[in-house]
Amino acid sequence: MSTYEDEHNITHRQTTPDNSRTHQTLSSVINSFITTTTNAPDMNEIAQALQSMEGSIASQLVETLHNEKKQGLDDSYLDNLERVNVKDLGDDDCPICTNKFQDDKHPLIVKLPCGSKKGHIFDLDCIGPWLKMNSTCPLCRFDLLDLQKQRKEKLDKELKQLRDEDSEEEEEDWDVYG
Amino acid sequence: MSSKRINKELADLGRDPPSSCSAGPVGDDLYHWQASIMGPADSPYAGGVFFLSIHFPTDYPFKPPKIAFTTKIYHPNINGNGNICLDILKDQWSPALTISKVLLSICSLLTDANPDDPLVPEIAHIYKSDRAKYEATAKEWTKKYAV
Repeated sequence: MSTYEDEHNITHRQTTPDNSRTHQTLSSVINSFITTTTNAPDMNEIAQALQSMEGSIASQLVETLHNEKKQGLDDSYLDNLERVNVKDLGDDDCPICTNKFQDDKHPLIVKLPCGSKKGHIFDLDCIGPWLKMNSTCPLCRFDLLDLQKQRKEKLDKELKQLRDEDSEEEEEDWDVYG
Repeated sequence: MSSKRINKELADLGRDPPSSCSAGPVGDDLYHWQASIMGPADSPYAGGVFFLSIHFPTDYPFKPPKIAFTTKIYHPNINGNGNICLDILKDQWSPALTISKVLLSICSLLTDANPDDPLVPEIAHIYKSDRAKYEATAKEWTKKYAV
Protein backbone atom coordinates (compact mmCIF):
# COMPACT_ATOMS: atom_id res chain seq x y z
CA MET A 1 0.00 0.00 0.00
CA SER A 2 1.39 3.38 -1.00
CA THR A 3 1.75 6.02 1.53
CA TYR A 4 0.26 9.47 1.52
CA GLU A 5 3.63 10.94 0.42
CA ASP A 6 3.88 8.54 -2.57
CA GLU A 7 0.39 9.24 -3.79
CA HIS A 8 0.92 12.99 -3.65
CA ASN A 9 4.49 12.85 -5.00
CA ILE A 10 6.05 14.39 -1.86
CA THR A 11 9.54 13.54 -0.69
CA HIS A 12 9.26 11.81 2.60
CA ARG A 13 10.82 13.64 5.56
CA GLN A 14 11.20 11.58 8.63
CA THR A 15 11.52 14.48 10.98
CA THR A 16 11.83 18.19 10.48
CA PRO A 17 15.49 19.28 10.68
CA ASP A 18 14.65 21.98 13.20
CA ASN A 19 13.01 19.55 15.58
CA SER A 20 15.82 17.06 15.35
CA ARG A 21 18.40 19.75 16.04
CA THR A 22 16.56 20.86 19.15
CA HIS A 23 16.20 17.27 20.22
CA GLN A 24 19.89 16.56 19.66
CA THR A 25 21.00 19.66 21.43
CA LEU A 26 18.86 18.90 24.43
CA SER A 27 20.01 15.31 24.68
CA SER A 28 23.62 16.27 24.16
CA VAL A 29 23.31 18.81 26.93
CA ILE A 30 21.87 16.19 29.24
CA ASN A 31 24.56 13.72 28.16
CA SER A 32 27.37 16.18 28.73
CA PHE A 33 25.86 17.08 32.09
CA ILE A 34 25.80 13.45 33.13
CA THR A 35 29.35 12.79 31.93
CA THR A 36 30.78 15.91 33.55
CA THR A 37 29.03 15.13 36.82
CA THR A 38 30.54 11.67 36.87
CA ASN A 39 33.96 13.03 35.92
CA ALA A 40 33.79 15.86 38.46
CA PRO A 41 35.36 15.34 41.92
CA ASP A 42 33.27 13.14 44.16
CA MET A 43 30.83 15.19 46.24
CA ASN A 44 31.51 12.89 49.17
CA GLU A 45 35.18 13.81 49.00
CA ILE A 46 34.30 17.52 49.22
CA ALA A 47 31.97 16.88 52.13
CA GLN A 48 34.68 14.89 53.88
CA ALA A 49 37.20 17.66 53.29
CA LEU A 50 34.79 20.19 54.76
CA GLN A 51 34.13 17.96 57.75
CA SER A 52 37.82 17.48 58.43
CA MET A 53 38.32 21.25 58.67
CA GLU A 54 38.93 22.50 62.19
CA GLY A 55 35.95 23.71 64.20
CA SER A 56 37.74 27.03 64.57
CA ILE A 57 37.16 27.76 60.87
CA ALA A 58 33.45 27.18 61.32
CA SER A 59 33.35 29.41 64.38
CA GLN A 60 35.30 32.08 62.50
CA LEU A 61 32.75 31.89 59.72
CA VAL A 62 29.93 32.30 62.23
CA GLU A 63 31.78 35.25 63.74
CA THR A 64 32.26 36.85 60.33
CA LEU A 65 28.60 36.40 59.48
CA HIS A 66 27.71 37.81 62.86
CA ASN A 67 29.92 40.86 62.31
CA GLU A 68 28.38 41.49 58.92
CA LYS A 69 25.07 42.07 60.65
CA LYS A 70 26.61 44.88 62.66
CA GLN A 71 26.76 48.25 61.00
CA GLY A 72 29.17 51.01 61.82
CA LEU A 73 29.39 54.70 61.07
CA ASP A 74 31.46 56.36 58.36
CA ASP A 75 34.38 58.81 58.44
CA SER A 76 32.19 61.85 57.90
CA TYR A 77 30.18 60.95 61.00
CA LEU A 78 33.40 60.75 63.02
CA ASP A 79 34.60 64.08 61.59
CA ASN A 80 31.39 65.77 62.65
CA LEU A 81 31.40 64.57 66.26
CA GLU A 82 31.37 67.32 68.88
CA ARG A 83 34.94 68.21 69.93
CA VAL A 84 35.79 68.74 73.58
CA ASN A 85 38.56 71.00 74.84
CA VAL A 86 40.92 69.19 77.20
CA LYS A 87 40.97 72.32 79.42
CA ASP A 88 37.29 71.76 80.19
CA LEU A 89 38.00 68.26 81.48
CA GLY A 90 39.20 67.38 84.93
CA ASP A 91 41.09 64.25 85.84
CA ASP A 92 39.00 62.04 83.53
CA ASP A 93 40.40 59.23 81.46
CA CYS A 94 39.35 57.74 78.13
CA PRO A 95 37.18 54.68 78.86
CA ILE A 96 38.79 52.77 75.98
CA CYS A 97 42.56 53.25 76.41
CA THR A 98 42.06 54.13 80.11
CA ASN A 99 44.73 56.87 79.86
CA LYS A 100 44.13 60.34 81.30
CA PHE A 101 43.10 62.92 78.69
CA GLN A 102 45.49 65.39 80.32
CA ASP A 103 48.46 63.06 79.74
CA ASP A 104 48.11 63.34 75.96
CA LYS A 105 50.16 66.24 74.54
CA HIS A 106 47.93 66.67 71.49
CA PRO A 107 44.56 65.30 72.54
CA LEU A 108 41.65 65.04 70.12
CA ILE A 109 38.62 64.44 72.29
CA VAL A 110 35.03 63.91 71.15
CA LYS A 111 31.66 63.69 72.85
CA LEU A 112 29.04 61.23 71.61
CA PRO A 113 25.46 62.48 71.12
CA CYS A 114 24.10 59.64 73.24
CA GLY A 115 22.13 61.93 75.52
CA SER A 116 24.01 61.36 78.77
CA LYS A 117 24.04 64.43 81.03
CA LYS A 118 27.79 64.79 81.41
CA GLY A 119 28.44 63.37 77.97
CA HIS A 120 30.35 60.23 77.10
CA ILE A 121 33.78 61.42 76.08
CA PHE A 122 36.52 59.50 74.27
CA ASP A 123 39.80 60.00 72.42
CA LEU A 124 38.87 60.22 68.75
CA ASP A 125 41.64 57.70 68.03
CA CYS A 126 40.01 55.24 70.43
CA ILE A 127 36.33 55.65 69.56
CA GLY A 128 37.05 55.81 65.79
CA PRO A 129 37.88 52.12 65.20
CA TRP A 130 34.95 51.06 67.41
CA LEU A 131 32.35 53.22 65.67
CA LYS A 132 33.51 52.07 62.25
CA MET A 133 32.40 48.54 63.18
CA ASN A 134 29.67 49.26 65.74
CA SER A 135 27.15 52.04 66.19
CA THR A 136 26.74 51.94 69.97
CA CYS A 137 28.22 54.09 72.72
CA PRO A 138 30.68 51.86 74.67
CA LEU A 139 29.40 53.27 77.96
CA CYS A 140 25.61 53.23 77.61
CA ARG A 141 25.04 51.11 74.43
CA PHE A 142 22.94 53.93 72.97
CA ASP A 143 22.60 53.27 69.24
CA LEU A 144 23.96 56.29 67.35
CA LEU A 145 22.84 54.87 64.00
CA ASP A 146 19.24 54.81 65.25
CA LEU A 147 19.56 58.45 66.27
CA GLN A 148 21.01 59.33 62.87
CA LYS A 149 18.14 57.51 61.15
CA GLN A 150 15.55 59.25 63.32
CA ARG A 151 17.10 62.65 62.59
CA LYS A 152 17.19 61.90 58.87
CA GLU A 153 13.56 60.76 58.88
CA LYS A 154 12.54 63.91 60.76
CA LEU A 155 14.48 66.07 58.30
CA ASP A 156 12.97 64.26 55.30
CA LYS A 157 9.50 64.73 56.78
CA GLU A 158 10.08 68.44 57.29
CA LEU A 159 11.48 68.79 53.77
CA LYS A 160 8.51 66.95 52.35
CA GLN A 161 6.14 69.20 54.27
CA LEU A 162 7.88 72.28 52.91
CA ARG A 163 7.73 70.87 49.39
CA ASP A 164 4.03 70.09 49.76
CA GLU A 165 3.37 73.62 50.93
CA ASP A 166 5.30 74.96 47.95
CA SER A 167 3.30 72.88 45.49
CA GLU A 168 0.04 74.00 47.12
CA GLU A 169 1.11 77.58 46.61
CA GLU A 170 1.87 76.80 42.97
CA GLU A 171 -1.59 75.33 42.54
CA GLU A 172 -3.08 78.49 44.02
CA ASP A 173 -1.04 80.49 41.53
CA TRP A 174 -2.53 78.43 38.75
CA ASP A 175 -6.00 79.29 39.98
CA VAL A 176 -5.18 82.96 39.84
CA TYR A 177 -3.57 83.00 36.42
CA GLY A 178 -5.34 80.06 34.81
CA MET B 1 47.13 49.77 71.33
CA SER B 2 46.16 46.29 72.57
CA SER B 3 49.42 45.56 74.44
CA LYS B 4 49.39 49.01 76.07
CA ARG B 5 45.86 48.57 77.28
CA ILE B 6 46.52 44.99 78.52
CA ASN B 7 49.58 46.22 80.45
CA LYS B 8 47.49 49.01 81.95
CA GLU B 9 44.84 46.51 83.06
CA LEU B 10 47.52 44.33 84.59
CA ALA B 11 48.88 47.31 86.55
CA ASP B 12 45.38 48.30 87.67
CA LEU B 13 44.65 44.73 88.81
CA GLY B 14 47.84 44.77 90.87
CA ARG B 15 47.06 48.17 92.39
CA ASP B 16 43.39 47.58 93.12
CA PRO B 17 42.60 43.85 92.90
CA PRO B 18 38.90 42.96 92.83
CA SER B 19 37.72 40.89 95.76
CA SER B 20 37.41 37.16 95.09
CA CYS B 21 39.12 37.33 91.66
CA SER B 22 42.69 37.38 90.39
CA ALA B 23 44.23 37.41 86.94
CA GLY B 24 47.61 37.65 85.26
CA PRO B 25 49.67 36.46 82.29
CA VAL B 26 50.79 32.86 81.90
CA GLY B 27 54.53 33.03 81.30
CA ASP B 28 55.84 35.67 78.89
CA ASP B 29 52.80 35.87 76.65
CA LEU B 30 50.93 39.08 77.50
CA TYR B 31 47.96 37.90 75.39
CA HIS B 32 47.39 34.70 77.36
CA TRP B 33 46.28 35.04 80.98
CA GLN B 34 45.02 32.80 83.71
CA ALA B 35 42.37 33.95 86.14
CA SER B 36 40.82 32.54 89.28
CA ILE B 37 37.43 33.14 90.83
CA MET B 38 36.40 32.18 94.37
CA GLY B 39 32.98 30.57 94.45
CA PRO B 40 30.55 33.21 95.78
CA ALA B 41 29.51 32.62 99.41
CA ASP B 42 25.78 32.67 98.58
CA SER B 43 26.07 30.04 95.87
CA PRO B 44 26.58 26.26 95.70
CA TYR B 45 30.10 27.02 94.43
CA ALA B 46 31.17 28.46 97.82
CA GLY B 47 34.51 27.15 99.01
CA GLY B 48 35.71 26.34 95.50
CA VAL B 49 38.41 28.07 93.48
CA PHE B 50 37.71 28.09 89.74
CA PHE B 51 40.42 28.68 87.17
CA LEU B 52 39.84 30.30 83.80
CA SER B 53 41.95 30.88 80.71
CA ILE B 54 41.89 34.27 79.00
CA HIS B 55 43.04 34.88 75.43
CA PHE B 56 43.18 38.47 74.21
CA PRO B 57 42.62 39.09 70.49
CA THR B 58 45.21 41.31 68.81
CA ASP B 59 42.51 43.95 68.26
CA TYR B 60 41.58 44.05 71.96
CA PRO B 61 39.68 46.01 73.34
CA PHE B 62 37.67 46.36 70.12
CA LYS B 63 36.98 42.61 70.21
CA PRO B 64 36.12 40.68 73.39
CA PRO B 65 38.66 38.44 75.14
CA LYS B 66 38.06 34.68 74.88
CA ILE B 67 37.43 33.38 78.39
CA ALA B 68 36.76 29.77 79.41
CA PHE B 69 36.68 27.80 82.66
CA THR B 70 39.51 25.28 82.98
CA THR B 71 38.01 23.91 86.22
CA LYS B 72 34.97 21.69 85.74
CA ILE B 73 31.79 23.37 86.95
CA TYR B 74 28.10 22.39 87.06
CA HIS B 75 26.22 25.44 85.75
CA PRO B 76 23.43 25.99 83.15
CA ASN B 77 25.48 28.63 81.29
CA ILE B 78 28.88 26.87 81.31
CA ASN B 79 29.43 23.73 79.24
CA GLY B 80 31.77 20.77 79.52
CA ASN B 81 34.50 22.59 77.57
CA GLY B 82 34.32 25.49 80.01
CA ASN B 83 32.74 27.80 77.46
CA ILE B 84 30.68 30.53 79.05
CA CYS B 85 27.39 31.81 77.66
CA LEU B 86 27.58 35.47 78.63
CA ASP B 87 26.33 38.29 76.39
CA ILE B 88 29.16 40.71 77.25
CA LEU B 89 31.66 38.14 75.94
CA LYS B 90 29.81 38.11 72.61
CA ASP B 91 27.52 40.66 70.98
CA GLN B 92 27.22 42.89 74.04
CA TRP B 93 30.97 43.43 74.37
CA SER B 94 32.08 47.03 74.84
CA PRO B 95 35.65 48.39 74.64
CA ALA B 96 34.96 50.15 77.95
CA LEU B 97 34.79 46.75 79.68
CA THR B 98 37.88 45.38 81.40
CA ILE B 99 38.95 41.92 82.55
CA SER B 100 38.19 43.00 86.12
CA LYS B 101 34.60 43.93 85.17
CA VAL B 102 34.14 40.76 83.12
CA LEU B 103 35.36 38.56 86.01
CA LEU B 104 32.89 40.28 88.33
CA SER B 105 30.13 39.56 85.78
CA ILE B 106 31.15 35.89 85.75
CA CYS B 107 31.00 35.91 89.58
CA SER B 108 27.45 37.21 89.47
CA LEU B 109 26.59 34.61 86.82
CA LEU B 110 27.68 31.96 89.36
CA THR B 111 25.30 33.42 91.94
CA ASP B 112 22.45 34.04 89.51
CA ALA B 113 22.39 31.59 86.62
CA ASN B 114 20.40 32.41 83.53
CA PRO B 115 18.39 29.20 82.82
CA ASP B 116 16.35 30.89 80.09
CA ASP B 117 19.42 31.22 77.85
CA PRO B 118 21.18 27.94 78.67
CA LEU B 119 24.33 26.46 77.20
CA VAL B 120 23.55 23.12 78.85
CA PRO B 121 19.77 22.57 78.53
CA GLU B 122 19.78 19.53 80.84
CA ILE B 123 21.24 21.52 83.75
CA ALA B 124 18.88 24.42 82.98
CA HIS B 125 15.93 22.03 83.14
CA ILE B 126 17.00 20.68 86.54
CA TYR B 127 17.72 24.25 87.74
CA LYS B 128 14.14 25.22 86.89
CA SER B 129 12.31 22.05 87.93
CA ASP B 130 14.31 20.76 90.93
CA ARG B 131 16.43 23.56 92.41
CA ALA B 132 17.52 21.42 95.37
CA LYS B 133 18.89 18.74 93.05
CA TYR B 134 20.77 21.37 91.02
CA GLU B 135 22.33 22.86 94.17
CA ALA B 136 23.32 19.44 95.48
CA THR B 137 25.02 18.47 92.19
CA ALA B 138 26.75 21.87 91.90
CA LYS B 139 28.05 21.51 95.48
CA GLU B 140 29.22 17.97 94.76
CA TRP B 141 31.10 19.06 91.62
CA THR B 142 32.64 22.00 93.50
CA LYS B 143 33.93 19.64 96.20
CA LYS B 144 35.19 17.17 93.60
CA TYR B 145 36.90 19.54 91.15
CA ALA B 146 37.41 22.95 92.76
CA VAL B 147 38.56 22.38 96.33
